[in-house]
Amino acid sequence: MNPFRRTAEWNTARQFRTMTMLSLVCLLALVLISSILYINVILNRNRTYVERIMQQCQSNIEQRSHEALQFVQTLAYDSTIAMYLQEEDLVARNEYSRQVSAFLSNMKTVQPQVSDVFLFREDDSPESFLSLLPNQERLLSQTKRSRVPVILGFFPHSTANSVESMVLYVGCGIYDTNSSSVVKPRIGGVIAAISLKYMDSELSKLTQLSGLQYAVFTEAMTPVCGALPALSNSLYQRIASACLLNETKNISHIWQEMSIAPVLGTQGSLIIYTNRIAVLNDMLIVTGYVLLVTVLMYLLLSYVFHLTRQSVSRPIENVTKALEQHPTHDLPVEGNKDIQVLTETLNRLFAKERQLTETLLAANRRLYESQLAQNKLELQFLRSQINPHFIYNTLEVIRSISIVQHNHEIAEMVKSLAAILRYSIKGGEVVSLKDELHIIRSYLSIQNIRFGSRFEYSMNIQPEAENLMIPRMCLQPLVENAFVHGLENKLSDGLLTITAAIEADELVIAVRDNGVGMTAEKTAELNQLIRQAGMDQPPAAHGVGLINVARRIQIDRGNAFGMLIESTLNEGMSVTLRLPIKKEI
Amino acid sequence: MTEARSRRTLSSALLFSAIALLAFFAVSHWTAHWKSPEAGEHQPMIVSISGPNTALSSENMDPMLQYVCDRFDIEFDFLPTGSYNASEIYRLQASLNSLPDILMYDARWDLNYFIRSGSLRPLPTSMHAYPHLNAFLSWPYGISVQYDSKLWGIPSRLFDSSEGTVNTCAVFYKEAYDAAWPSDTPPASMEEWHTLLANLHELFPDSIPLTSRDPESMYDLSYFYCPTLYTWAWDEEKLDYLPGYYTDSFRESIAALKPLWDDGLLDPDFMNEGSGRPSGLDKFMLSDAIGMMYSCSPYIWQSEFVPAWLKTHPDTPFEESIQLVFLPGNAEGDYPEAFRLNMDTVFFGSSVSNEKLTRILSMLDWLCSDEGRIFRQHGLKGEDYIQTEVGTIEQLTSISALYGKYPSYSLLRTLPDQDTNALSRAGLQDASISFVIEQYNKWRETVNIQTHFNTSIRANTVSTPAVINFNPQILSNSFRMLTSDSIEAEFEAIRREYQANGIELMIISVNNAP
Repeated sequence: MNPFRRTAEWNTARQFRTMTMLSLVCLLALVLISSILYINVILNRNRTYVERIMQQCQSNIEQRSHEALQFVQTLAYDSTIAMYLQEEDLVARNEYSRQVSAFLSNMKTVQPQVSDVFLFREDDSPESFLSLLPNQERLLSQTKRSRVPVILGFFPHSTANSVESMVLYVGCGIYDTNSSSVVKPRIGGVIAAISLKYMDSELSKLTQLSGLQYAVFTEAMTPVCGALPALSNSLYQRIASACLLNETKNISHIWQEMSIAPVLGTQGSLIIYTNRIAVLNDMLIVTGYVLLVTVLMYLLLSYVFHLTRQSVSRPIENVTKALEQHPTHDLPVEGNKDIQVLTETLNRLFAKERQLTETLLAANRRLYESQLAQNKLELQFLRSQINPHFIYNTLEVIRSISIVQHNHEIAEMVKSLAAILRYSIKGGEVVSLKDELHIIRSYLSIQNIRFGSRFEYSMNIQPEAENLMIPRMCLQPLVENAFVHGLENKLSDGLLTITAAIEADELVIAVRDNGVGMTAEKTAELNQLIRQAGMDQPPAAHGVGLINVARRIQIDRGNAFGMLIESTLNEGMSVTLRLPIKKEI
Repeated sequence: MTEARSRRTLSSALLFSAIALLAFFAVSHWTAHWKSPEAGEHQPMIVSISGPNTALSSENMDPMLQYVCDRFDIEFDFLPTGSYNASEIYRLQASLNSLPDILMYDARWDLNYFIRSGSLRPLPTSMHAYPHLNAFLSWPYGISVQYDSKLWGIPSRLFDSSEGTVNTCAVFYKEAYDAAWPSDTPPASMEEWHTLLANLHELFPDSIPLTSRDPESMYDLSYFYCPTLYTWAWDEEKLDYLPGYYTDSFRESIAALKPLWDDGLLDPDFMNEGSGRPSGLDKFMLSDAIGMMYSCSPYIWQSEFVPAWLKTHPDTPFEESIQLVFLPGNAEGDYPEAFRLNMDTVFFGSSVSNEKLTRILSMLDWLCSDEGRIFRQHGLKGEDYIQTEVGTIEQLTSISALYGKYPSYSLLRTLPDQDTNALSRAGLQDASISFVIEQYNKWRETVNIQTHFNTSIRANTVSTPAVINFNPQILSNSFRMLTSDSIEAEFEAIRREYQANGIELMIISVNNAP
């Protein structure tokens, strides 16, 4: 499960908390892994160290044993001692005794590890020395078996004024070197008790490292020197077994490790004990401190997290909730300076957005209404529309018949009507003023036939204005309105004037007639309706054509247009359009 | 807002302080825990100590001695020697200027040799820094270690001339003794002793009738024949102080012993001490000897006899199995006042540095203080005894057990001690040793000290150029006479040797000394 895959579902606080926890876990893992690696290195080095210590200890014991063997050999080959043991004359024996005593004293001074020396005659009883009890007979037997100095082993020993302690006995037979026989007869023996204090001291120095202990045991597990800590029965049995068999062995037991090796020349075994906890003690203390510091760092991080949550993540969370619930409402201003600046900016943006939205909505509403009006007009137009091709064909037939019958007025009239009809159903919203005026002329030619000499028209068009674009069919309703409401009821001298000129940035088009005109009230009412053309107003009873024109112009040019009706009853009416210039040809 | 910020600042400061404090403790702990190799290798000052004392054994390092070593940051290196040939050994070492740091030795014949050879280091001119030791030096025996206006050692004991008797007796297996000496009265003359030993020899022909713990003890058997052997006594005829070994009484004492030797009643190897052969104690305990001349010192009994007995006779209380027989009187049946010149002294080798001497003297001074004496008598405070509020001592470990518990107990007792009564006081606390002390005291009360001598401690120890190399070799000369065909002739030969070595000049010097 990868937590980062789901970060899209998480909020900032949770991410931050997760990162903090992950950091802590990583930190702890780092500490633990480092500790384990260090422990491994230390234990491996310690193992190597123990192996070398074991070698040095064995070497040391061998050296001591060798010195002891040399010592007893020196005594065994000393002629004074031999004569002392053989001499029967008491005075002479006493003289030898003095010499031997001085010799032994000096030898002990040179070899301080020599604790005691015992000289035997062959006829001595098997128990003649208190200190050698109860092993004297066995020791003598061992000495007799070898003609060279021999290590007799570790035994308990006590002098007259000392408590019993373990010593190393070495012995050598003493032979009559003055004998003429080839095989020199044995006259006695010498046994030396070697104090283990010096060996113990040297082994102790070798095993100074914390956690190391050493001990020498006999094959019967009698402690010789050094000491082992309290061991479990099973472990003790394994050690005892190795000592009994006098074998080299390594024993590992959870936090304890033991190297066992036989002591040369004896049935004893040297054991080097390693307490891994003690070896790793310093390391474990350091690890403990590091873990403690890690926990404190976690607390510090938690505190920092708390502060950050208060000033960053919680404000962000609140902003997020506020956005989810009321996306455009003002956001709570809280948290640190950055968050506050952010939320204040967002609040300003939201206010601007609301304002723009309102404006846009109003424009959309107007557009919608305009579209509705246009759709209505188009619907009305379509409703009145019969099959255009049929009408065109019919009109063409009529025109052809008129031409055949030489009725040129009808033919001309039908032609104009067809042009108007085609113009009106042709696509496109805007047309040039010139095109619009062209269809106006067609319309006027029809009206001219209809009204005959009852009216005249004139067009005063500024040439630059002809190419300006205007909404399609925006003039025809004005001209038609002039005929329907003005000139139709005038019996003669009707005049229709159309002017178009550019004034400033506006195209000013005026349609004037001198028909019956309107009252001032009605004129005002129409102007009011035209001004309200963009609003949602109910359809007016009068001036529907003018209002529609106004709305279409508004749709095309916005509110920046003008349409003004001026009329005087019985004098005529003028409709003036002021269109912002829109050049699109 | 400001309050909240202050609170946060305070919290942060506290947290950081906690971490800093923890780090400080960690570093402190680490620094304290970690010891440099140099620190771990600190070694106490090695003090070599030597003497013809069996308690001087490297195996005797026990909590009691360790306490002393730790207290004065020293470590002892023991160099034991035999007593019989100690003089020869030490003279050899002195000639090489290689005497040990501390020499515990009865240098009655060798002090001048040591001084002249420059192998001894004198004590500081002022000993006021060591008030307890200083008290020793004002005693009569303190004078004996003065020479050339310098102090050369510290007497170990404050024995005075009123000792009166010889601290030696004979120990026999009771069953054998009873068989050989059916009388209720113990033998009190050399003739009766001869009978006793002859009977033993007859009854137990494979055993030695009488052996000896050491050579000197064997000659003590006839000590009352020459009670001034080891001192100088006023000779009414010559009107001079004369050494006992130069008088006829020396010959008479050996002559009294000679019948026993000649009849094979004495251990033929009793003189062969320290030569690797079985000692008198070995022979007695292993029943190779039926009787043994032995010390009456409760310390020696406690530290030597009792452990040896328990080792060889674990099921038999020795007071039920042995018979103590005390020394016979002289030819007239008298027990003259006996003198034993004891000059057991602590000397210091010339190689001892000032600092080492200061530590040694401080140690000895402490051992002679009230605290040190209590320590030496009663063991470790809290472990072996407790001291009540009123100052009385309640022993937790019996005195006799202290000998077995602390092998160094005997050694510590042999160091200088002002308390002359400590011996008997301490010894009486053990029931078995009480048996010896009671019998010894009873014998002392019964014998009638009939003859008194005018002796001179000063004459015993006076140093003159004439006695620099003089050594009467009393034990050797005793053995020469004992093994000679004619004691008289041998003694005359010995006297001539003394004269050749300047004894007459020495006598003149001593008698003319201030």
